[in-house]
Amino acid sequence: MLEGWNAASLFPLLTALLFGTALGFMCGLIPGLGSRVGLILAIPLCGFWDSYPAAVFLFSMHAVVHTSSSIPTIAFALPTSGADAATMLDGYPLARMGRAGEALGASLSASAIGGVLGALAFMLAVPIARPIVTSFGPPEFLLLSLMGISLVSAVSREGMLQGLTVGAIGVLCATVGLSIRTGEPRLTFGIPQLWDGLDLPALVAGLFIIPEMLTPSRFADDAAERSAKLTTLSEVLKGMTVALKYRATLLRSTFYGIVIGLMPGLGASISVWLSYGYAARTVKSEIPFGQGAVAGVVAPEAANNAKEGGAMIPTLFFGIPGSSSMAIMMAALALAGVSVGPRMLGPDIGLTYLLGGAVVAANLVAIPLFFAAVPWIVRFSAVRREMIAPFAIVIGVTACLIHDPSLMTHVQLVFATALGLALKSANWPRAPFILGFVVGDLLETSSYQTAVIWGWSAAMRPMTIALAVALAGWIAYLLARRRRNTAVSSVHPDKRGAILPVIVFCVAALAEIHALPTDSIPVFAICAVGLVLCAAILLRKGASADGPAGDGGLRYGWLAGGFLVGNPLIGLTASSGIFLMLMMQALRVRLGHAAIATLGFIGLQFMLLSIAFDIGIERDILGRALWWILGR
Amino acid sequence: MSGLVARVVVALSALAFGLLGDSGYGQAANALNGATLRIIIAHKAGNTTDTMARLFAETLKKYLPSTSINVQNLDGNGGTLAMNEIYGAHGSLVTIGFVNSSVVFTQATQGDAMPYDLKDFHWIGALASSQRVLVVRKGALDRADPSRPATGAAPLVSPTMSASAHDHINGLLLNAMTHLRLKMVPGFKTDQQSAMLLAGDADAGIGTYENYREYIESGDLVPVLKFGTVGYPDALQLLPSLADVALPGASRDVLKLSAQLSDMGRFVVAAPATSTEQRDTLVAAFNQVVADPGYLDGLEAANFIGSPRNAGAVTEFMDDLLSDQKVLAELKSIIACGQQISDGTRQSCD
Repeated sequence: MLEGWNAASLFPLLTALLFGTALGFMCGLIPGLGSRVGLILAIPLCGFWDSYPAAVFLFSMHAVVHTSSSIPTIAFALPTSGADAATMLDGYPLARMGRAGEALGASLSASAIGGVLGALAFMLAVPIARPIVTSFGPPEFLLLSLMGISLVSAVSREGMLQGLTVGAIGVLCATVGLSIRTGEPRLTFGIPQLWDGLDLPALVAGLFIIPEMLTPSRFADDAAERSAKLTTLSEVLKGMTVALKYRATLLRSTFYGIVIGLMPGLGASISVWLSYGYAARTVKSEIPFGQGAVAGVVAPEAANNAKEGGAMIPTLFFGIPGSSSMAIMMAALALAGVSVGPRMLGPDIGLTYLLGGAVVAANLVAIPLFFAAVPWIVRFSAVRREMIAPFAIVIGVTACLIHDPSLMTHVQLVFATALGLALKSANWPRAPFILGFVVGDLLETSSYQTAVIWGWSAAMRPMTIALAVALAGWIAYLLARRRRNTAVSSVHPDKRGAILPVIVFCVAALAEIHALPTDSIPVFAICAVGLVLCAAILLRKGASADGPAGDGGLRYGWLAGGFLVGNPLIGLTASSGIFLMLMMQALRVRLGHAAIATLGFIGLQFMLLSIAFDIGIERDILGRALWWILGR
Repeated sequence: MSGLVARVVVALSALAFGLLGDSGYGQAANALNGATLRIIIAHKAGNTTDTMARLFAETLKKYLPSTSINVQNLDGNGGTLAMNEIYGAHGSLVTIGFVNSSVVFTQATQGDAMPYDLKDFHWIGALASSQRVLVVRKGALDRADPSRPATGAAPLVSPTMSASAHDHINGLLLNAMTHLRLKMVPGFKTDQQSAMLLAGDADAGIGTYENYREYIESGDLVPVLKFGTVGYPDALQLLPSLADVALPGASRDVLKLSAQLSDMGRFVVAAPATSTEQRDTLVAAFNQVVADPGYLDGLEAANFIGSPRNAGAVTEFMDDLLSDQKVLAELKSIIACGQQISDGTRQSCD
């Protein structure tokens, strides 16, 4: 169908490719934009091209969002999604060591290779697409979710019991909302806004971004700070080379990304966290995972980009969107006049290869963009760290409000921040929460569906058998490794940290007893497991009851608390302005400079929210004034 | 960093201003001048109704040029999350929503537990019929004759979104009012439902014709019956409707209601706090958009069939329905019986 195309028809394809890649790259850079919002904003731009170049534009844009989203994640600890949070676990500590250039180079290599291999897998899948896509159902999802739960130990270097407890809180939080089985509310405390469950971006911001920014986070030493200031392309290139040393991790994570990407409805976070957890458990690294292991950047980045190639298989060949972004992509393609489905395997096979090629090309075009952007962004990250913290907190909160501009987002931010600070100060792991939250819903839903549709006969499905064997082998490996591994962790979790989880589990159990919905057994089961774990921690002899609490005291915590509480009361623009001014005064920034920086920042914030996203910020006090000045 | 942000913001602002710019269709002063109109779509981004709603919103900018329009998706629990958000909307944000007829089913079955009442809303119109159909995979057709008792046969496994979703409720109505036996299994996203059907792990699906068009055309799935009467493509005109295959004792009122809801399909609803002037402006704008050639071309390009109803027709229908407690009670008991059949605890509703 592409025959008869000539140089003249190549021009729109090339402009679509270049423009799409550049726009996608920018969307990844800005926390809160990301792939889904970016695609929605890009739909009107499709009108500049005919249908095929428009499709190339959309796929090029989508292909590179995750490549550039690693930049704010690594340089400023600003993950734009639950998937990016995995990259932050090791990427940000690397940046604090002055090795941001290297970390970003590693993420670029992994993203590009994952993205290219994912697209190649999409093109090679043409003859076997259908059997692959239809091999996975709820029984297989159940086994995958069990595999995810088993990886909690891999992200719990601070202590297995602590990791399992935090993971249980994550699973508990995944049950918040309406039961899929009965439609009854669970753990919603009578608040209808919680029917839809908790919001992953708000949880990530509260658990990771805000606690990281409130903890003193200077560079490891002066040399590290100088290194960051002088970040050059050679360091990025070095990082790219270092990533290639982890070939097995790269390829394995790419494989996970592709396979999980082609399973409809599983979501990006699962492939990323499975890849990270598996790498943390199997890769030997001089620097432990969670403290700056390069493999901890390589694994999630490769999986994150590769999964989009996998998600293209069900989306384009069967019209089954493999991810939420792909659902928007399908709508955008329909509006651009491109219909997807089985025709892409037959008469429209040319379009299949065109789009696969576009994704490969976009991943390659992103490399020079990355080179152009990284050095000065990293150098910017080397200015006084305390100066970045207030802006990073405001950006993180703003990104959450772009995702869901509601009062409940503020409440969740406060809740997650309190939990994040408590866990951090007690030296407890936080990553298991996200892992538990991400797989918890899948675990409950798929186990229910498997029981209702198949019962025990699910065990006879070929793919189920294969995955069960893999899971059994994996658990045997974990147990054998645990027996061999006698190394003592240098991190000492404070067992008093169990008090907060005990409160959480008790409150949840009491709330369920009070409401008593029909489908409350999973909640009680999780609470029971969590309380047993807490009891084990508290009663354990020799545990570090008086271990060091966290890696430093909180600074300006009361200001950040005031910002979070003030947000819903006086509005985001006003509270951001006050928070930034007070923080800069506390940091002894000259009043004039602080005022200029604050006004400039909230002006940009206001324009982004009120004009690009239109989420009603003009109701704020300062927002009203700016609105008036702008003549709206 | 700030320079880059500034450039991005300027680009996005230019885009936004371009979209909001005067396109020559500006109308005289209206009750929404200078206001922000929030549009809540009770479906996932990319869904048929979402695509229609976004086309609608784009076109609406022509007729409300001085109103800034913000579109959000809020799916879940058969539209009740969105309805609750719309219900609570007040202040400077004028809020409307795109919901499907499952909100009526939810009102009937969970009315007391809902924090809102449908009577309080303003109905702006209905965008299109929901073109709902029952499709069955080829291998399960022998168990899918709604006019014949399926004695001893295994029920048709039908994956659905949630226990309150339209597809789930439609399946329960089939259980209660025809010879069909469906085991409704909630918790599947729309894409997973299609994958389950293609894999042969599920037997039947209920949804809009658009959801299944590709698979119907490829021969993987076969349409067995339709729930409504209007808005279907020519190829489905001869397909029997639910009323055609219903058991003799089935409630005629509920059958009629089911068909009407499918025909009305995709409602546009405004928050209770909307003033009369604002409502009138929205109704006028709705009527302009659904007749706009650009909007109609967009629907055609996406292969959608529009069959709009105006505010008067929808409001009259809702007023009649919501004041008829007998029909709502009957509907509730039929749905409960259908669920029992789905669970295997009951054989029929006789």
